[in-house]
Amino acid sequence: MRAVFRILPHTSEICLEVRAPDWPSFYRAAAQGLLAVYGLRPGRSGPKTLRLCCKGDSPEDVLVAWLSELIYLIGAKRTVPSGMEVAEAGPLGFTAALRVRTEKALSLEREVKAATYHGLEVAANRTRIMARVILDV
Amino acid sequence: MRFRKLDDFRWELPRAGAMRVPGLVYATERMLPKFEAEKVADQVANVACLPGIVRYSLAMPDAHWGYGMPVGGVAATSAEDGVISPGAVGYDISCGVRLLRTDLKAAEVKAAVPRLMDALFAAVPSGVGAEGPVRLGKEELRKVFLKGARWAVDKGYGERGDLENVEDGGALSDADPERPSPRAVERGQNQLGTLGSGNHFLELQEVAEVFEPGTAALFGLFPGQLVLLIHTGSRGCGYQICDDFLRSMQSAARKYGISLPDRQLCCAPFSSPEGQAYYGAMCAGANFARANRQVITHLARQALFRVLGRDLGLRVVYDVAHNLCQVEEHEVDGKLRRLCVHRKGATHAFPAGRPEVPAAYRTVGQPVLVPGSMGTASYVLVGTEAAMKETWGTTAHGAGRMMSRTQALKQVQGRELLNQLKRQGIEVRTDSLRGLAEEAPCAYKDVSEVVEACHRSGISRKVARMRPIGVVKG
Repeated sequence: MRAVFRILPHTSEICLEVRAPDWPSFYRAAAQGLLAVYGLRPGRSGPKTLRLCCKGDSPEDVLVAWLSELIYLIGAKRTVPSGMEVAEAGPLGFTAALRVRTEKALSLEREVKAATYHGLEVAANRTRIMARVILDV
Repeated sequence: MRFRKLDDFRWELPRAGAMRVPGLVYATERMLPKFEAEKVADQVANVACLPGIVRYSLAMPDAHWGYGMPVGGVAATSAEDGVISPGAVGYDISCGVRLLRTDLKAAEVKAAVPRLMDALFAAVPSGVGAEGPVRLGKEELRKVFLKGARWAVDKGYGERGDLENVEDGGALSDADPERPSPRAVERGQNQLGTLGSGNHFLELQEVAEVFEPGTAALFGLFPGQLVLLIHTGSRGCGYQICDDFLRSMQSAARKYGISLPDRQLCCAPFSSPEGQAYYGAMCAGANFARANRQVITHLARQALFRVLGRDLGLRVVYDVAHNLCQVEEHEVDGKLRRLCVHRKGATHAFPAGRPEVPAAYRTVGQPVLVPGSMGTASYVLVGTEAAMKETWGTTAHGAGRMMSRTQALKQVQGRELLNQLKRQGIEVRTDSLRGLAEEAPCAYKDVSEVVEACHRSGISRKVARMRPIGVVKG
């Protein structure tokens, strides 16, 4: 299987569903799903590289931390990832090298306030990882 | 259905499982199936599991599915041995509404409404990630965290009289300006004086109907009057404060052995270092929101003056928050107790005589501002004794969302809605037709039904109804 995401309706908010065959592609697909919620495309490759390390006590914590980091970059720094290399990825963390571009006037379809813990679930077995996270928009 | 009818507007959710208290929902019978289908009942039950919760887990008539606590939820916990929960306040800390009155009748400015809306749209930055006209250094922002709307007036963004009729005189005294993280500070530095996006708006309205003439007169309202309603909050600064503390409270909940059915309700004892840290930071975020609505007031006042060339007598009727946790004294079983009252999408409705109500309104109770969705009515209500006794002095905050954004986009075209509202005599200004469609009136409950439930249950009384004539949509 290949990594995919889906954006699902929720009364007030938006639910992001991510499915992937392994942890590196899972974290990449989650980022791509978030960009889609913003109405952003990775676009041209950015000139800068950001190195990040996300860790947590559970896969759910890592996912929220990862999405929160991206929400901060996009919402506060107007910095958009255009590509990413994920390494040392597992259920409790990963490191990533993000190619990013910063735009003065970033055109976003909507504001994403946060990735929430409500209804958060990450289910993993040997061949598949599936997650649902509700984004407050 | 799990609800037990107490009367036509009160429905009890009996204790079950880990619930420490029962739930109590204010609604008409017609609203109840939606409450069940949307899992509002489940969320009311989850909130009832908070340690130290007192008497009931409450839901107002506009309640809908949120995350953790339903939007429209209210929970009071003991300040001595109960918890404080960032998830029971929400991300947009102190999101709220400010109503401004003018000396004019709407009919007097009818021809100028398009120009007025252009001027307001140009003056008040709106939309996703909008930056405001105020740029603050980190130290200056700490002063905003401390002084709220008072900071704005001190800096010339408004008039001294603007502070007379706002909650808490424009600032929560428990704010700790050192608690918001560097990221929260960074996000607040350029967002003061901005409306934001989503359901935030700025509306020119006409007072269409007055239900209590004496109370309306005391609030400075009269039929046909031109008024301005501002709905916004603490912007990215507040979101970041909530996000930071939700994460730290996950481990705090484990540390204190607190187990909850929804991780979004994570919490810590109010008196613990973690609880106090969040409370200080939340109050700082709330003060940022109050300063934000004050700066917008100033920008709007200037914009309207530029178009009409005269002072409109723009005065603050009231400013209320609907996402907040405050420490308040309430009577419980005949004794006064200090409670942390969490209101997430719910508004203060304090009655006559309470010291928190501004002196000018203390004989009647505080004004309650209930905004509707675009194209529908907004209301001014007044707080009541019944609210004080039953709901910790709380009532509904708005229409309450009924339809997901995705559903709304499927049903409504932004351009079509814009034209439809224009035909109804409502001038709309927005950067985002998509955002406009997501906030279409059909996506919300009928605000009049919500208000009627509040009025007839006695948790607030109708004073006036306003209809929109111009909207700046965030």
